[in-house]
Amino acid sequence: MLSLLRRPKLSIVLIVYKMPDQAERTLHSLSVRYQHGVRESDYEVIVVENHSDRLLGAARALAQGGNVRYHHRQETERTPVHAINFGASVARGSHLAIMIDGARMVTPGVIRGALDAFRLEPHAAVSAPGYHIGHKLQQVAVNEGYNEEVEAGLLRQINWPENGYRLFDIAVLSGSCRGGFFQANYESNFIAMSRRKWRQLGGVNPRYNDFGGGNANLDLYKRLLESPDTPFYLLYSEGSFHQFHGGVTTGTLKEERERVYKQLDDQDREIRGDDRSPPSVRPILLGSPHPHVLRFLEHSLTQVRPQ
Amino acid sequence: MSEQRQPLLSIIVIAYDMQRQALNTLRSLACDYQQDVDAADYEVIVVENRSARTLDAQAIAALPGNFRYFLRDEPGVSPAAAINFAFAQARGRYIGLLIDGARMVTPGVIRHTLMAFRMNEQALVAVPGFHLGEHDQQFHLTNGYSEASEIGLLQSVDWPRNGYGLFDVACWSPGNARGALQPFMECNCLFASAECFREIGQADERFQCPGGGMLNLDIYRRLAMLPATQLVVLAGEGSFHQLHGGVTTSESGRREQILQRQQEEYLAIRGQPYHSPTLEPLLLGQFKWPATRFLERSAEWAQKRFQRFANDGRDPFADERIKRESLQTQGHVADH
Repeated sequence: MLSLLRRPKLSIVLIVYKMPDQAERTLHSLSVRYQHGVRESDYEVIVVENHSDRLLGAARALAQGGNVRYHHRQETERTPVHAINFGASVARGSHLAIMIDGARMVTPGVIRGALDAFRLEPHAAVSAPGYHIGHKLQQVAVNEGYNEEVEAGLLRQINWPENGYRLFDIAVLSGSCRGGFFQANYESNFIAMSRRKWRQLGGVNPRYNDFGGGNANLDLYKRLLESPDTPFYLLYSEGSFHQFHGGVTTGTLKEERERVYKQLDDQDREIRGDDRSPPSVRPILLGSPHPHVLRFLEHSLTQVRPQ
Repeated sequence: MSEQRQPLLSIIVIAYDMQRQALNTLRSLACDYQQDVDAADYEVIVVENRSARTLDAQAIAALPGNFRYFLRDEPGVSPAAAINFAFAQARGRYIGLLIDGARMVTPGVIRHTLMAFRMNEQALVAVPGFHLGEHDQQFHLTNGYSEASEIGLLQSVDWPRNGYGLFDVACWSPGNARGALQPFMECNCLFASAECFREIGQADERFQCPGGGMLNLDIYRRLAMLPATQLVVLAGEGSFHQLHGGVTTSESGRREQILQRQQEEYLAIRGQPYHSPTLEPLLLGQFKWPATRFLERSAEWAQKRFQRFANDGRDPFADERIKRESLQTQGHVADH
């Protein structure tokens, strides 16, 4: 109860739609049982679930911690953007972290790292790189038989959630992050900032009203990182790890996926025009170089070009 | 006007008989070389033990920033008393210690150090060390390295205009010979709060070997092992040693003897042999291209070390556990 009375420092907005089991694991990864060096009163997790025939539901969500708040919404459009803006509007923390995809679980230092970065620079942008569980990107693996069962086997293999950093051992960098840790890349599933910065940005753009929000997340990330006086901290040794759940771009078969991509791309071009390059911002790296991240650090170093 | 405001950070630079090198070091600490800093945020306290080649006070005064120069007569051969004299002058809440004035630094050192302290008052900020030249300077004679070749190297990378160019003409320092991600044996550019320095009793003046012997290692380990400090490594920055005829950083036939005497002194003072603090570092930095080749090597070496420790069933950060236990004990005492 006490944790609900005190204002948390960070409000994490987690969007859930048709992925109850994955979201439950993500919520576990956000709980104090799994996160290092933080207390429940330091942060809150705002779950916003758009209605579907496969609901996570309040009971399962709230069971993950005393700092979880659950909202069930009816949504008329096939997009998470309204759910995100709603979640942010009820946040009580001085800072916000947006997780657009509830199927992405995180490593144990994400929250502490974000709080460290905001102590360092209250108006910073903070993110963690994205990964896919499995030995290939899931949009490729799905064509080769990858499914929830295979993934469950991988998670058993690393005894998840015993040591959350072992997720690195069974994952690959997301396509949008394959440029590594020394550049901003395209997006993140953990995008954090001050609430003031969020208001300045006007939240996520509600015009992204198509499947999965289309490029709303990329647009938010780019606008945040390129906004003035916003140093960008990358929690390079943490990550968010996508679980397979039949999502729009990560879990459908090739032909269908390409059709959807085209549709989303057309809408993005309509909204943003032709300048959709990744943010040209160099990250400040923050985090412990634990053994599981080193092979990705080495990969990232091969992607650096002379400035 | 900036002198009227109390600086956040006091950087102590100790010099002895290294006129050209120390002036380069001070140049690298000036506010027009250090990036994104407010000159009023820090002061540089230069303490020089008198020699035949003392620094030019006017040249120091001409550097942009807050430099305070003290020339003192030192009867001994250790810098310990000079360091404690410098502590007495320091006004900052945080202290930087460059025990060897011949180590110049890269332009992001002060900015990142202040960042680390904003994050954690108890940060122990360590900047990795390098030697100018292709080889460790303790073998400079064998490798035909001289002050003249060093001056040429600095010109070749357009230093001081190009501060990060130092990485292009340097190699690892023996104090962190296995890279920036493994435990350091010592650190020649380190920062902690004045409070932490007071807690360890600043420089222990029983270290009386030439150059202080293992004094610098002792200071590093004792700060690192304070229960509440958090080791922050600025892996994208560096301190770069210039050749100056130092006790252990230049080639000498008596090197083994010197090291043995230093170890004996350490053992006599601390009652046990020295070992590097094995603590999990937090990395903080914005990496410039020239620094990345060193990070690449560091990552390779760190992987091997982790593998070795895993194979042997050993904890790679054993001292971290000792610190946690003493924190708990302290908490326990405080609770009662």
